[in-house]
Amino acid sequence: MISFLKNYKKYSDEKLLPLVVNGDERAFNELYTRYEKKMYRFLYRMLNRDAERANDLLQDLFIKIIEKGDRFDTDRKFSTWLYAVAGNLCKNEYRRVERLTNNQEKLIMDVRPGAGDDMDFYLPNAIDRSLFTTRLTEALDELEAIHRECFILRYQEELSIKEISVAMDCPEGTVKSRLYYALRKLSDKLQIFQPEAKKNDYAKQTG
Amino acid sequence: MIMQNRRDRLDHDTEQLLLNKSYHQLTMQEAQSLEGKFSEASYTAARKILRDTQQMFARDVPMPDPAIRLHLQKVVAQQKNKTAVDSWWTALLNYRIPMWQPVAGLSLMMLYLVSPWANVTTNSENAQTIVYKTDTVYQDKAVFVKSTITASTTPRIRQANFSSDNEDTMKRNSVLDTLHGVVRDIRAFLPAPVTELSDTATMTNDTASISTLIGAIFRMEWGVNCFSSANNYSKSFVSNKLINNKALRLTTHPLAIEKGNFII
Repeated sequence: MISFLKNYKKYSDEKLLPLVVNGDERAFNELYTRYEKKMYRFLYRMLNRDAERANDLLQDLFIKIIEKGDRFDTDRKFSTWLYAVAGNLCKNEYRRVERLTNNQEKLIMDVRPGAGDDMDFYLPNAIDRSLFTTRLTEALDELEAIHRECFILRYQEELSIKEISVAMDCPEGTVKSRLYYALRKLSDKLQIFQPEAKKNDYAKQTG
Repeated sequence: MIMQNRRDRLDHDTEQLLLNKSYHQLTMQEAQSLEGKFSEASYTAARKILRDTQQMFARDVPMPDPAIRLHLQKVVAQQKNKTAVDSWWTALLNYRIPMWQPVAGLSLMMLYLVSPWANVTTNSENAQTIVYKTDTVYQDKAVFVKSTITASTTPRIRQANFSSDNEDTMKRNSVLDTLHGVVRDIRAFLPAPVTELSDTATMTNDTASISTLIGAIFRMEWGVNCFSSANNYSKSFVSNKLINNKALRLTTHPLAIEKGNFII
């Protein structure tokens, strides 16, 4: 009866976690509500927009929290820890798929609809916004995992540089560098939409 | 080198410029800060990518499967049961003791052990002394010495311990006098000091002590120095001394006979 009086909405993530580990369903519902969309969106992007696998990993992620949440270092921020665990799940998934296909590029090509070398076919005559967005999504999928993770955490999840450095367990300078290279690679891939931006412009500039 | 590193990074200021200002809106100072990093064309391209990416992320929001929540709720319910069963073990294994507690405990124990009021028992009382054949054992023997007893107080004791016969007492005294005389004479001839015949021993009629001392004097001190080096002289000296100093009496007493036989 007393538990109904508790207003878990006022509880911090760090305070809810022990309750979830102890099997408090209301605490779990509160924590899950806070993070289900964010984490699903992150996983969805990290897994090249594979909704089914994103759902699987979301479930795995929260099962880990429920069963192994007592290992959480209370000195850390829960949200960054959650992104770190989710990032590790994605890396494990990459390895698993790589083992299965023995070629990660093949995976990317398989899950990406309408992408490929035939992209050049569309470019000269179809420079519109929807196509650009489509190509941008695909280019994002083609980024290296660490650059993509960094880019998504910054511009989709809107984490600060410091939070990303904690989540990815690397210095802030490395995060900035990864963001720069992610942006440069995206520009290279989407250079066709910006004819005035020369292909090797960045390389020249960075010397 | 630092410039090179900075060029490879997308710092916060540059990022904010890309998101908020077109290249033509940049001030001179802002444009200069981008030199070496972005040209006008690359700046415009990067800006478009960032802005469109943000818009795409905001627009394209995938939703998770609602069935996941139901499944996870079951897992939480199972966890509750599991937690109840394992709570005792978990509490025991995960129990954390503050560092100061064991430190304080050890400190108190050490303080108690080194303190003077600590009643530390050892098993030395129960320990058995093992003596090997090669060991040298020193033993202290208590000797009862009544040094305060004067001659005037001793007659009653001497009479009590010795024979009550007056004749016997006189014989004993004469023997002792003879021995004292012998010892004094010997001492005069010896380079090393000779053990005094204890007055106490003579007064208390401690025949064992007298016997031991006389034996020691003649057998060792005097015997070694005189008999071994000047055997004939010593023998005649002792004989003469004994004859001149009541030697006949000496030989008549059992104690004197014993010592006299030994000497001669």
